[in-house]
Amino acid sequence: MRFIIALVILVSFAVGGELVMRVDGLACAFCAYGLEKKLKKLKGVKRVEISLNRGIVRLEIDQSFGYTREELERIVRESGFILREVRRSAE
Amino acid sequence: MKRALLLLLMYPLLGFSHEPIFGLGPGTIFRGGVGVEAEYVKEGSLQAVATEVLYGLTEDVSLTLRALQGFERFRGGAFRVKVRVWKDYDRGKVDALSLIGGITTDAVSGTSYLLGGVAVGRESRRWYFFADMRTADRFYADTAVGIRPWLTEYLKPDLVLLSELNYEQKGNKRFLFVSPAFFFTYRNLAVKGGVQIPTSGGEKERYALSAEVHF
Repeated sequence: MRFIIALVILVSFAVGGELVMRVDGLACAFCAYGLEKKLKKLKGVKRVEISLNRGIVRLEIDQSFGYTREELERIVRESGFILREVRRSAE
Repeated sequence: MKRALLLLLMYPLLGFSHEPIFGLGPGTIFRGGVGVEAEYVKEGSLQAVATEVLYGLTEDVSLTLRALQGFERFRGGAFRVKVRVWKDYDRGKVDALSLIGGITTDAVSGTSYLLGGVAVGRESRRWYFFADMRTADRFYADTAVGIRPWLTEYLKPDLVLLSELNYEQKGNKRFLFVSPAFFFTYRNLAVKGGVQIPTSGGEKERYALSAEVHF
């Protein structure tokens, strides 16, 4: 049971809140527009904040929505970038 | 007239902003993305307006449809496919290599040419490097280096300055151009332009200015 709970926590970010994604390939604002557009289409996404110089994307998601790492990886990949890391914001 | 018209048709602006203006880069638009570009080109007394529609079939495959309307009642068009076959990512940087193929038609003579080429490049926060080789009615080889003087953040205006070297060969005729250029973007809007300055006599300067939006 603990294993299942741990697995769910590992692959899912189902309780909303703020996620911090490290995205590689963010070279310019014009290119990043596609990523912002796709992320904003996700249900429950309230805010998308992109830092080009840090290679960081912050997502604020409504508490009733959540996305797996695989889903986020696909969206980032289809936008022309690659997701290296995703974690919950410490704030 | 015909030669100049073909030159205009071959102008290789592929509808993606952060690329050389006269050469090519390996960039592709995001999956499902649509880009629309209106471009003004001028060579000597010839002027034309080209409209391009770009579509991202996948994040690595872009399709471009181009229609050209000359101020002297000539028309032409082109269809191109760009496939990004290799890419390597790092923080704020992407290296890529793409293959380009397609067809372009001179509506005056009805002559069609196959396009083929390869483009490689590095996009990073500060620097841009591009190189490509293409064939159509002639052989093209280009290199470009670009710099972003100010590392502005997302949602801020963004300027990149470019310097290109463009080589063309058709039969025994060879041309070399030095081409300063720029691209200026703000979110999904881009304005870019440049001038090709011939290094030897016989060729005229060529100008290009375009506006582009991504949806």
